[in-house]
Amino acid sequence: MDNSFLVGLSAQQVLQQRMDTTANNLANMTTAGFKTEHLVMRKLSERPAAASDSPTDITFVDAWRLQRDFSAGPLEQTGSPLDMAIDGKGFFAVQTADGEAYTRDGRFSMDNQGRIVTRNGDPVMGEGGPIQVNPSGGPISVSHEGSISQDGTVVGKVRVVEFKTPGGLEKTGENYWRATDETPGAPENSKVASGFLENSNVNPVSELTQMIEISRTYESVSKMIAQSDELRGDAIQKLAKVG
Amino acid sequence: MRALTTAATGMQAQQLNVEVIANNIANMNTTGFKRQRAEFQDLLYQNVEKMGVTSSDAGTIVPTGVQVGSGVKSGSVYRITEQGGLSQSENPYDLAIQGDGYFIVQLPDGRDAYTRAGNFSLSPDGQLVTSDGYVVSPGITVPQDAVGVSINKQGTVEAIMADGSAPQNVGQLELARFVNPAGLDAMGDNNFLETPASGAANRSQPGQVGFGTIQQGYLETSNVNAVTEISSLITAQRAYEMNSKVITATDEMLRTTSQLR
Repeated sequence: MDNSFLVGLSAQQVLQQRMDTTANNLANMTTAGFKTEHLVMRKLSERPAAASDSPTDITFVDAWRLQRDFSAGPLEQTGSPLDMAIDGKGFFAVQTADGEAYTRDGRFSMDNQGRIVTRNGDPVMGEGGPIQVNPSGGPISVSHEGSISQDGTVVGKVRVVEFKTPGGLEKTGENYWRATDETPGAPENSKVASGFLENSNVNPVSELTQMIEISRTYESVSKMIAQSDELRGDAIQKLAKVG
Repeated sequence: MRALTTAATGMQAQQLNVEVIANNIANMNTTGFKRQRAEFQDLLYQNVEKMGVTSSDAGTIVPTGVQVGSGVKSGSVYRITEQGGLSQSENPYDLAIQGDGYFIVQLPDGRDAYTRAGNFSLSPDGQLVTSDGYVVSPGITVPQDAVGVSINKQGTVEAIMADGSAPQNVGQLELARFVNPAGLDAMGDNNFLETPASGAANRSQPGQVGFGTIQQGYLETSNVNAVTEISSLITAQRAYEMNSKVITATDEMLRTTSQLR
């Protein structure tokens, strides 16, 4: 009898987490380079506490994995050469205080020493360390391969990396991702689009539909719990009646 | 439930977005105004199940874990210093910069401010001043008996004399350039102040390498594009609405829970 409560509770806990993830997707609808993610649930089959209670296994629900959608977000034209988007699966490499981070958010600018930095002020990595341009020089242009040239000479090349399983990257906020068990490889088919920004790939319609589904499922699980409670109440009253 | 606060951060972010867009639209006709863009970053994540940890003694690893995010934060409001259009004004003291650079303005407190708004005029004693009456650096005085001024692309100011004699050189305008003009501090009245983020001002004459040139009788219009702003406004409003729907749905979930008993 208790099992129906516990199964319901496991479902409610996961549904709350799914709601949190959906809320995060919708909150980041306008965050550059953001990738949608969904929580995937799994069945956890367990023998019931008392074997006589039920002949079959009881199936609980558990948050299992994140399914991340790495499809490209829509590109927005900005005209600024230091706004870059990656056409392909790659990431920009950024030097941070806690080691190398990766990002799809290509809103870069020049700092007061002429280094190319992210909006957090962290230097963007080139093939051989941070990219330095001449602050008092002419305009900058960026090629499809990521080469940065100023006044007709190439001053650096943006380092673009690719991961075999990008889903294994850890998000640390501020649009940064960190590698966990995979070392990044050279880009195979990633191109740099200068003058463009990649918007978030969150699809508001599907997120809202998910949200409705989650809240309705939650509601029916709650009803199920309420009904089994009622059933138990009935049982106690009827069984307790003597004579 | 975290969804409530997550959605609240989303609403706050979109509110900032709308505020920035409103300011852009309000300044659509402000001389030398540069549009701004609100930029967002995702907030910290909670690792429910960490990716990359071993999942068995055979050394298999968890390829994708479970991370629950906590919303969005405003990263920065970035100023897009793209050139605005030039509109003809016929006024000889209206100057526009075509290219990179800022006019240098001497504030009454002794500091220097920088501006793209070249709607200048003459003070009672003949000095070239901004519309607030601040002296335009390095200080140019037009003689009382001049009938007009001519300012060339390189910023040389010549007074045309009433007696028909040769034009008299009365000064040379200066421009300032910054490594990162988006890092300037906007102080209102179309003026900017230098900050550690913008770098120190690099001063030179107009027309030097990297510096813009002066157009006399023109004003630089704002670089706000009404169509882009309105479409961003629609997106921001809808995003706000959707985040508020998340709050409603989460609230409903919580209500079902509280009604269990």
